[in-house]
Amino acid sequence: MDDELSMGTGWTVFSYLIAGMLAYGGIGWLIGHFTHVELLFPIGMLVGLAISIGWIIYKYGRPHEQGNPPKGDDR
Amino acid sequence: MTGVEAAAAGGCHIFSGCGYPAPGLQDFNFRKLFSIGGWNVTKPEFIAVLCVIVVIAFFWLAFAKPRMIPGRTQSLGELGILAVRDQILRPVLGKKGDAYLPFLASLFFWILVMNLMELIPLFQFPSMSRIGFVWPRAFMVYGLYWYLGFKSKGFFGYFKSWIPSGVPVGILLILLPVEVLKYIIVQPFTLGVRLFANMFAGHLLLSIFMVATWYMMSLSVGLLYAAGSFFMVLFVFLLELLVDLLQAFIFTTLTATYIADSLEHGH
Repeated sequence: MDDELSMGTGWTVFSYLIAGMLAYGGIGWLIGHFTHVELLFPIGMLVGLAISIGWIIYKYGRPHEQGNPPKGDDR
Repeated sequence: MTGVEAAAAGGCHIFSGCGYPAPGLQDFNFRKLFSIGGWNVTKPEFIAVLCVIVVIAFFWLAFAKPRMIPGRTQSLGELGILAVRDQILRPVLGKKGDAYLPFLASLFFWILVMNLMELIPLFQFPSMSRIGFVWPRAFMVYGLYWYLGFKSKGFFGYFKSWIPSGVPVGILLILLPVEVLKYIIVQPFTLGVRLFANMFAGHLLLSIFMVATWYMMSLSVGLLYAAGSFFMVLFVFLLELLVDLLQAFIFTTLTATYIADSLEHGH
């Protein structure tokens, strides 16, 4: 499904956004919890969000190159 | 006494010194309707079982004795099945996915009928607004997702397919927590919560405006407010009609997407 843009893609993108924030927010919170630097939690979330957005653009930003060529002139 | 019950008791109207009996969480808890062998059946459970019976009975009537020239029930049944096949299954899975049509069709129609129960008088409750009804559905779909993944790619092969291909090792390490979390937590969680939250909010919205209409009805300027609130009831009713259909559609589409994801080789 990853090669075509469909309705499922929208929800996958949404899942990536949340997963990125959760994963790196969690890592940030964990490190911050032991080093007593509370700022690491929000920073981790932002970093995770940035990673997710980057990955989404890399993965879905070029549907034409991923085996879904534009047909004729209907671009 | 819940807000709805207080309003139904009739003594509570605007300007009578009675506060607005706001519907809230208490309206999602029900006393038992009846017991079967020590098992107390509540309204949401009763509705869920009734919906199963309705869906089975309808398709039984439609397809028990199929004819070349379909009757009215058979036509309606075919229309429903074909809608699921052409709008949900085929765009995602293609022709090879036709084996999953019975599963997807029953999932779609059961959720749809369950959701529509929030609009049908006397029932007026979507069982899916109790999250306990949603999790088994989400876990069932997710169990199938993983099972098909293991079956088509092998145990380790399936986990290997989580790892994005064609990405440098450094970036892969950064992406791995995101991918793992997406598969293990975010996808099943959003699948369940989306349906639950929509039904919960819809029921709450409907009951707020319905109780408000009753509450503001009195021989005063309140009648005008009540008319406004009643208009909102009609508006939310139509909105919920759309939401009910959409949520059943999205749940089934996502199930189809997950099945396609599992069956597909490579990432």
